Amino acid sequence: MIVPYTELPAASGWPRPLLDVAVAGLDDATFSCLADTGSVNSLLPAWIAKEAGLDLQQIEARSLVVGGATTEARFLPVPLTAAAYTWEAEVGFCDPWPYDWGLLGQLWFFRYFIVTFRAADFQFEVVPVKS
Amino acid sequence: MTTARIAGHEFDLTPTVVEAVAGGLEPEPIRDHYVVVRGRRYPPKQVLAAVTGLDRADFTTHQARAVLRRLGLGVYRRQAAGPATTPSAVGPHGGVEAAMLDPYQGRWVAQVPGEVLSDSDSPEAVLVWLRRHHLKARVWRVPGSRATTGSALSVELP
Repeated sequence: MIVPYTELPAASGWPRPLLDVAVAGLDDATFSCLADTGSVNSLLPAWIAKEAGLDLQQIEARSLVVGGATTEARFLPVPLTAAAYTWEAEVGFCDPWPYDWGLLGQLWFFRYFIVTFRAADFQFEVVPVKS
Repeated sequence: MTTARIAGHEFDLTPTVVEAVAGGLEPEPIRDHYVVVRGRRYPPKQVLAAVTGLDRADFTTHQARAVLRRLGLGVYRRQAAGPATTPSAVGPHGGVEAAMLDPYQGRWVAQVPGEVLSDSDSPEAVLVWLRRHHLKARVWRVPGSRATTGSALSVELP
């Protein structure tokens, strides 16, 4: 699937490769995530887990530094759907989460997809890896 | 000040009053037409009903558009050219998407291609709006600055 970059207001700079991700249990909306090759983990804000009916209470928090900010992440395997594909990913649900979008990282996103960035054309292609 | 006669009643209206009233409204889904008040889009009949206290059945969309336009507010048709913008020409949509998102900087939005359906201070409020109106959309926060555009080397602390 070919996905156009998302344009941002001028103050926020260059268009970004954002992918709309649906989290199982949260059917009303998708959440925008950056296809971020620099991120090891796939991270979402904790409010999404709450809205999806996921219980994070019993999960041990791990401290992460994300983009210079410290956060507490609780990792939970959850079905994600994006670009017409569904896969199970261990997502770190983070609180606090000061960023505008989630992050799709190496372990639970790029591991399963061939992602080709065509920045000159403001689009990227997401194709699942043949297993 | 504009004097408008609607459904047999006369109203003295000003843009300031309309802006103040609209500021307290949660915009409803747009059908065919919308009015832009302080960067947010509303159905014209929703705004005029709130400002006048009249029932929406008492006037037409055409009347509402005419009154709001006379007050100097931008009234547009959905899927047609919106407010005049200065696209940056950078991006897959030639800067049109960026210009559309510009009034929503720092806000959580429900977005479908080419359109922001709703916006709020919190993602939970946006979800409530979507559920109330049985709509589905992409939810995210439009960056207000580069500081919140997370792109990360995420590192686990020992």
